Amino acid sequence: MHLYLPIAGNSVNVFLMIGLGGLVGFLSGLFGVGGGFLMTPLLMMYGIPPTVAAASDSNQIVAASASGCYTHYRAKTIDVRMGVLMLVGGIAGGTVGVQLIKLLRRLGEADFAITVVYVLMLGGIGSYMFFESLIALRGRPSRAAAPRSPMYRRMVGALPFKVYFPRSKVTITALMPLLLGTLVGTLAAIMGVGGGFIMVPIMIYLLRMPMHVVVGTSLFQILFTCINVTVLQAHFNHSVDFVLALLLLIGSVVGAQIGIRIGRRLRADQLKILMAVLVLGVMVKMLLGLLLRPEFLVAYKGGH
Amino acid sequence: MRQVRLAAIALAIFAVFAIWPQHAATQIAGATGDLMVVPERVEIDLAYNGANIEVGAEVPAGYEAAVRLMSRPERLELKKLGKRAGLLWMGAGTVTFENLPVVYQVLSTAPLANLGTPVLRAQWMLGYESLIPDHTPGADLRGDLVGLKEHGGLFALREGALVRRGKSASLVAPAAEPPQRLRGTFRLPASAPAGDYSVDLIGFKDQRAVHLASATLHIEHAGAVRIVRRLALDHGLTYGAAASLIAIVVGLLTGVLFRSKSNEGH
Repeated sequence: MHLYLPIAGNSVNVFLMIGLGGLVGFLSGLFGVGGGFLMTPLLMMYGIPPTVAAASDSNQIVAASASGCYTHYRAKTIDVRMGVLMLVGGIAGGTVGVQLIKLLRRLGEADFAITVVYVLMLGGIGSYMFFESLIALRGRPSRAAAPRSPMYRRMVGALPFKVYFPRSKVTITALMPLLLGTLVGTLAAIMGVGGGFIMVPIMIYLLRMPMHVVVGTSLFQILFTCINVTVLQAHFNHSVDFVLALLLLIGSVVGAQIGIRIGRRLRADQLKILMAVLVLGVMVKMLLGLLLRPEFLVAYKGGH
Repeated sequence: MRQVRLAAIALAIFAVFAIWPQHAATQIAGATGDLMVVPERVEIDLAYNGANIEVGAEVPAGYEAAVRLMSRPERLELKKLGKRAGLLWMGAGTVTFENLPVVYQVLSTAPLANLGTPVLRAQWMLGYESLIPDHTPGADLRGDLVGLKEHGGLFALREGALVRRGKSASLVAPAAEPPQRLRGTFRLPASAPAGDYSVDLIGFKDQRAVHLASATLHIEHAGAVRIVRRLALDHGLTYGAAASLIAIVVGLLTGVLFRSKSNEGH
């Protein structure tokens, strides 16, 4: 059964799109990531124009993250205070990132530099999470659980505006989530992805938040970021295909709920190692895309 | 002075005669044909998944023929992929093709190479070389562009897919050999854009060509597709806000539904 997408200008298999939405929603519920890094390339492979794929994906993430946020809110696993600070930083960082990417593109080698940095960063974060969780699963104390180095503690301790975050049970300077949010927002704008899977490791390792609060807080932040992107894309680029988003979100809201339920049954280290596998998988996929000769030496412009 | 004028006239007459036979050799006087496109109008609604466009043609006896369907030519800018640092395949600038149709398909009774010379085929825009000639920008990426377009079903050269359906019963010229009936099908993918497409029937005989008939195929948006497009294009901000709101409501409802199901389970 096929349905024509008015803005994408192509038709899609209804069940395939719902299934795709379900898969990405599942990952979203399990790990607190938006899933844009997975969904957008899959939609492009299906023949959806890149700009429409990215914008409509943002629209469906709104539904999946709203669904996940509700469940996390009821379970009291969203640190709203932390989330708002990171969101403010993220929006500021996104604005900076958009300007930065314009500047880098003018300089010429931006695409090359960005892609290489992205692959290295994913590889680094993924490998660190994987081995750290593996050690913890084997019963040894993990480095994340161990106290931070004196220099790191001194640096963080010297910063002003200390705030207690009761939901995360940490006392840190309000500047940390704000600055880290800005950093992720900038990176996300440059890379063209939501940044969930950069944000999650940062919350675990630098802000030292509990894993289940990390997932809920990440979804909270993603919800507002994606609302912003959807409205802006619809207004300026006319690239949101609501019919496509609707098909995807039917699957993703259900998938997100299943992901959350399975996530609750897993230990934090099990969740982390799965997240590490996902991040490394994305890195390998990107690396293969860079190393293997493409089928055609021309491609449609736009998108991520 | 008079001698100069006479020499100029003689040169002009010579030039006309030198050029004229070459041009005339590509044309066939008096040949007529007929072309029918079914359906002539295609409506893109929510259930649309591409369309089969049947063409029926009538050409004089002894002719080979080609039917060319194409959208209006426009400018296309693509990302060029190249190897960077001798290792990584990624974006390496852009390439622009001027006057390239989004959709270009040809059905023919025989391989295009057998129908006429490359010059003749170029004149009638038959074959990819005629769309992107060698001297134009991006010609070195012609194969990749065609591959990309064929992959999406927008470009197609189907040589031999215009098949003969026996002799026509036409009584227009009973003494002469009756015309041939031809039939073929264009497969338009769902991604073919709305607009007017030109369909042309070209006949070939003895390395000469003639335009026999033409028709127009109209593709337009209809029903819910038209309404959604109008909303998205004319009221982008409201459309975006509504799309977000609906997504939030669906997300929250699913959350509530799953919560109540989960409570029932306990």
